[in-house]
Amino acid sequence: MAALLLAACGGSGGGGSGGGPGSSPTPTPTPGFERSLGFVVSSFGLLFPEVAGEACPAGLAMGPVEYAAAGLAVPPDDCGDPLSAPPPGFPAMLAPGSLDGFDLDAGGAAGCTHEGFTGPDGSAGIDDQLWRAIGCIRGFQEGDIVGGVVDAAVRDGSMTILVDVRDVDDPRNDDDVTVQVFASRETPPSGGDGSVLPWGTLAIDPDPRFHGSEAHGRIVDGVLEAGPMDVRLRLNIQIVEGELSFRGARLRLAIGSGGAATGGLHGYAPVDGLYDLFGRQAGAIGGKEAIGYLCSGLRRLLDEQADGDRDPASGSCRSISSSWRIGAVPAFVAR
Amino acid sequence: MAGSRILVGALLAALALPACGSSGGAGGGPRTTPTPAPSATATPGPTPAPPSTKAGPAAMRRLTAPQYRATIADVLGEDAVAPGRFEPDQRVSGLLAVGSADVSVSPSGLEQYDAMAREVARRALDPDHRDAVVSCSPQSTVDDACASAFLRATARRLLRRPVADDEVSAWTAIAREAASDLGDFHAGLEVALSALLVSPEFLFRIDETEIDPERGGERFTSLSMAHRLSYLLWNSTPDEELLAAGERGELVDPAGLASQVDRLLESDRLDTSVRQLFADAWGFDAIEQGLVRKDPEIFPAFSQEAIRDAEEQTLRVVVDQLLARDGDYRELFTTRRSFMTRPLGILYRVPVRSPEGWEEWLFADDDRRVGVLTHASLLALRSHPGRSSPTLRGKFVREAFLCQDVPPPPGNVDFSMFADDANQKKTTARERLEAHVSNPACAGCHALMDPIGLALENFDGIGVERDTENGAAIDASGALDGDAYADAPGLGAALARHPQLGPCFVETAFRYSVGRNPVAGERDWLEWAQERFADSGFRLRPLLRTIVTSDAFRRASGPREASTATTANAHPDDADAVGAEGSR
Amino acid sequence: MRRSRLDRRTVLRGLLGGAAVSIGLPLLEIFLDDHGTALADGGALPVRFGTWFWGCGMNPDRWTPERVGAGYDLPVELAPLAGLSDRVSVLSGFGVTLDGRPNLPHWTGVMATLTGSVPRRDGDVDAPTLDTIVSKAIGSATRFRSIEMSATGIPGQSYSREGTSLVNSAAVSPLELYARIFGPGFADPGDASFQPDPRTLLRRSALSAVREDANRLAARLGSHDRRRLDQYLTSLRQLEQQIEVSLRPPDLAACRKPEAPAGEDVGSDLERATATHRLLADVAIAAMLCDQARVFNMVFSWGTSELRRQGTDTAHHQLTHDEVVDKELGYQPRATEYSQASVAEWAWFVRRLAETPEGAGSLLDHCLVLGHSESSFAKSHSVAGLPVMLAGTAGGRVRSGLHVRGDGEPVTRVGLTVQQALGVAAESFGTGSMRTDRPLADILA
Repeated sequence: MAALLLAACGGSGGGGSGGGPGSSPTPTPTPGFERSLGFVVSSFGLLFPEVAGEACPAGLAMGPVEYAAAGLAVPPDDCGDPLSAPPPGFPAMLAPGSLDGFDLDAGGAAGCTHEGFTGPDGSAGIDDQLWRAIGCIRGFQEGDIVGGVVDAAVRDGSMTILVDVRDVDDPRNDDDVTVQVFASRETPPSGGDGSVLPWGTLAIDPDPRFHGSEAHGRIVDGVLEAGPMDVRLRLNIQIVEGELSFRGARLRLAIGSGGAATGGLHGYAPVDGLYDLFGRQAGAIGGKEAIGYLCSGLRRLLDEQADGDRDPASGSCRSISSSWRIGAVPAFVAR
Repeated sequence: MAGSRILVGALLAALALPACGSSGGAGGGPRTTPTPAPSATATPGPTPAPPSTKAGPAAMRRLTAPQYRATIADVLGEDAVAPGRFEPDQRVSGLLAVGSADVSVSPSGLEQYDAMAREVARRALDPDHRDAVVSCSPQSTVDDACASAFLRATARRLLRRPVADDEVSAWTAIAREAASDLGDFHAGLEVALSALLVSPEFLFRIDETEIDPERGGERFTSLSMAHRLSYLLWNSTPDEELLAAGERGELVDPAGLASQVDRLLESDRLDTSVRQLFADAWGFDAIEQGLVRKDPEIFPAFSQEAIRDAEEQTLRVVVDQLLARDGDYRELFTTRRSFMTRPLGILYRVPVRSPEGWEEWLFADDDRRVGVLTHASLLALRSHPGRSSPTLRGKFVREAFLCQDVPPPPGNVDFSMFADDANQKKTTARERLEAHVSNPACAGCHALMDPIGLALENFDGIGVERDTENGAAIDASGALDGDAYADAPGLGAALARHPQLGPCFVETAFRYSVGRNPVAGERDWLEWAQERFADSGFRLRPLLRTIVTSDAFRRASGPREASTATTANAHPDDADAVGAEGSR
Repeated sequence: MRRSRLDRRTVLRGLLGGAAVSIGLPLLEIFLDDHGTALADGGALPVRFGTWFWGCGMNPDRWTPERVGAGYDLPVELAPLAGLSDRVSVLSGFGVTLDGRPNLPHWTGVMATLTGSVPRRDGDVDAPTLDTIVSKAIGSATRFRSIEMSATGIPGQSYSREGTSLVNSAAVSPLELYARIFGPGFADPGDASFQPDPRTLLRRSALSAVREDANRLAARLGSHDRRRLDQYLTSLRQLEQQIEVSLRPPDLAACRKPEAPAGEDVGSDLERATATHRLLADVAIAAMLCDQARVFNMVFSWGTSELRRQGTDTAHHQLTHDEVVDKELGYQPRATEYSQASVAEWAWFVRRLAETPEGAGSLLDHCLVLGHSESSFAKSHSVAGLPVMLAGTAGGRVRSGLHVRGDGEPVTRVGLTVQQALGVAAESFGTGSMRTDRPLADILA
């Protein structure tokens, strides 16, 4: 199947026979897909660590709904200036757990101290401080509202993500490939059953700001790993509009026999950007009620757990490690 | 028996069932090596004169749905074309064009025509469009002069003939009564126009004959020639120039005919009719009517948009090869040239840069996609909703490309040999169909169909490429009447080499042109036309010219008589028209 | 049903006096006679005829009742008729004599039943089908001669034929059927201020001009075309009939303009076919209650049934050929699932008619519906012992609830019975060995 995949891409290289009498072969007008594997992300969301014991012994954070249910007045909260209100005392998710992620600061990047997760192979220092920050907020829990909205966004055109793997000589084992993640303004094609169809063509975002950096990658037994890389996604979910970006990101995709892939994207997301989407914008349109938080608490949790991009002057970190799961189907990434 | 069509069914009857399997019965004739197509600059030698021809009978033909719409667009404007369903056209001997000379109008059909007529008239005469079709300005609610001017001109185009004064008066009287009752001049015209649009002379094309004063016998009148030519070559009503030539009597004269034929053949509108010819011969009406449906769980990539694009893709390849490139008909089965849209790119697994519209595409030398047999349109059309069908695909190739009739299974066939527990567990179609081969009652006919269809098994029920079925590798090898192949491209090449391919197309194009099967008196001419087609490098325009300038097209034995009509023109597969349609 | 007799004369007098008469006033139930089966002026509620077809038959051993006559038993494949067996007669063992002609798979059986003639070639229709014969007797006074429906979405899948090349094509879309019957041409009985559309009157005179043109054209045609033009003229008469009828509103008490179907999803899989069938049936039932048509034909699945479960790749017809007869069960379990589902859907249809009130009883009381298939055991294309059922009593013209054994007699006896029950002046039906002049005496009341 993988061979077929390459053949399909390689089809563009054809230019030989087929010409009839008096006609010259028409060059295929769509070169640029040679030796490449492309994907469109068909499923996306937070990657949840497995936590052995009680994840949130102090309970979940309280939003306006919870305050009202408890018969308490909702504390003052200004999402435009979240630190102006007193801290509501939101709990972070501090329990140990395991996660199929990356030790993103293994290279000794300047960060802030934090408690990592354990990898599936027992390795320590797997980074996902975003989950430590939001893991005790109701709407971010597995199966709750945020996961559903984000997952739908990659399919309905609100946040189309393309992965382009180039310089592929062998789609199962190749120790030197180039990987780049792009945003796209196009909507992935969907089938009669609602799934994202494989083998569609999608153009990358015309704005180069949404072209991720080129990264080196390798494929071992059908598992692609690449990074570090920068990724910037365009997001326009309902009326939350902005960017979701990652620095120093790692990508891992296990490519199945039919060409579909599953894996994860792991990287440092700027706290300001995350807060802008989930706090300032979402908070202003009912997100606090739907997800269950106060901006004063969310902002502080993100700041406290941030572990990357340390400001030497203040000593605080401005980005936060995060882990996202990815499902993807093969696609032609038109650059 | 009609023309050169090979009647496997007749052979069956004569030779008993197992004879069905002999490839001699199917292919026939010595294998010939196709002559390479002459280059564009080659000078053809002197053309031998056509043999004498006794043409078949004339019958009126009901407008097909595309012809109805094109006629409305030509006479009353694109915006007057109303959406909606018609009584289905009927396929007789594999062609709607032949069925069009058999069908009448059922009560429910006339109800549909009537509803359509009222909607067309309403659109044509609504305030935004009336000035484009009514050239005069009414002086009052009742204005006979203006009404009759409109009705005379419109009826002439719709009925394809000059209309007599008393006819115009009758239509004008209807318009006058209606305008007066409804208090609106244009509402009056609307009532008259909607009645005109259900007139049998509009719904049917009446081919009229007259005594040929020079040669004796019956020929089509000059007026009838006008719409015979225009519906064949433009798939619509005659334009002003052609209608005028018809009215002046020029189209019974060889020179007058030739000049109009040249004009029609060089027009861009020829595309429309070539598309229609192929859409008819290949059964694309089922796609246009949305009748090709697939199980969304098994084939999520299938959509009506994709299958319509697939039809368009095939027709684009046909028009590109046969008209734009003036190319060899046989290369339709070997060409790697194609066209893509985004939805098709998903089915074909190829990149398509343009978000909208069409792109050229050339399949690689080692690609399995070669020729129209590997197009998603034909593959999906000859499949079941949940899986492919080698038998349907093979039957189609035999019938549509080689003009061979494959009879339906015998009614008393014993299927109990399928009562083999192992058969249900077999993984590939080839293994499942082997049960046919082991039964003499089935083997004969299935040996004609299945090997062809099995060559296309690398394409599933919607035409997506695959290497395996249920995990087992697909073996696409086989032979077409003794010409062995390894895979689908090989089948395409074998079909392109098949000696019956070109002659069959000539016969199909002829049957499409005259709306009936050939009669005995046309057989010699048909053979001659088949040779001319080969001489021309299997090119379409010369073939159409050969047909429309022939006695077989210009003359008739007289009107078709009911007593003999059904048997003289029938093929064993007439059942295609009704009983078997869309069901096997 | 008890209703007031007190008011009837009074109201009638009032009407005759001419006060406040509106032709659009729906007929009140008090105008029905004591039995609720006839109008007070002596006119009976209309009798309707329908056919309901499913493809690929049944398993005779599991379908045929053992007891004959009234109170027959319901074997497993007739089990869906539980509670309806006194409203449905089962006619078993009636078949086709081929007279040396081929048994054309999935065609001969249905044509023999409906036309009485065994066709020579697949697709041939040697004589008009039963519904078209009956509609000439009972269907000419309605807006629509007949309503043809196909539940699996293919308009050509209609067995209503005047001949080989004249198919009364089937409605496949409930929404389109609804629009056709209850759209602008429908005179709503609830609208007391009914006025015929002036355009309708004008159309009538315009069509008479068309008729004159057509008659003139006839003189220029050969016999083949003249025959076709005659059919056109017949259709034109039907259209004129429709227009006549639409000049007055329907006057039946049970008539209500129904709501349009909320949506539709047409397809050949069992789930979609079932849903489409029910939507189509409800439109047709409403049409009959408003006397828009008295004849209908429903094709639940074609002779080569394409019914399929969503997500499965093999359809009913294919299964009848390919599936192994389970040695322990003695039948093909997967194929049988579809034939049983078809009979269950037939039972739904009959029950729907039985539950639709009309007059003192139900719509079913004023219907005769022929439920049938084109083969018995489809695996061998058997046309012996075709499954045939008759539902309803046609306004008291037939007896119902019987099991009648045919013991190999021609199925044309059923067709003749239907015709005679519905007032067709037919002394015999069928050709060759299929010809019969003996209706089923048990059935005719």
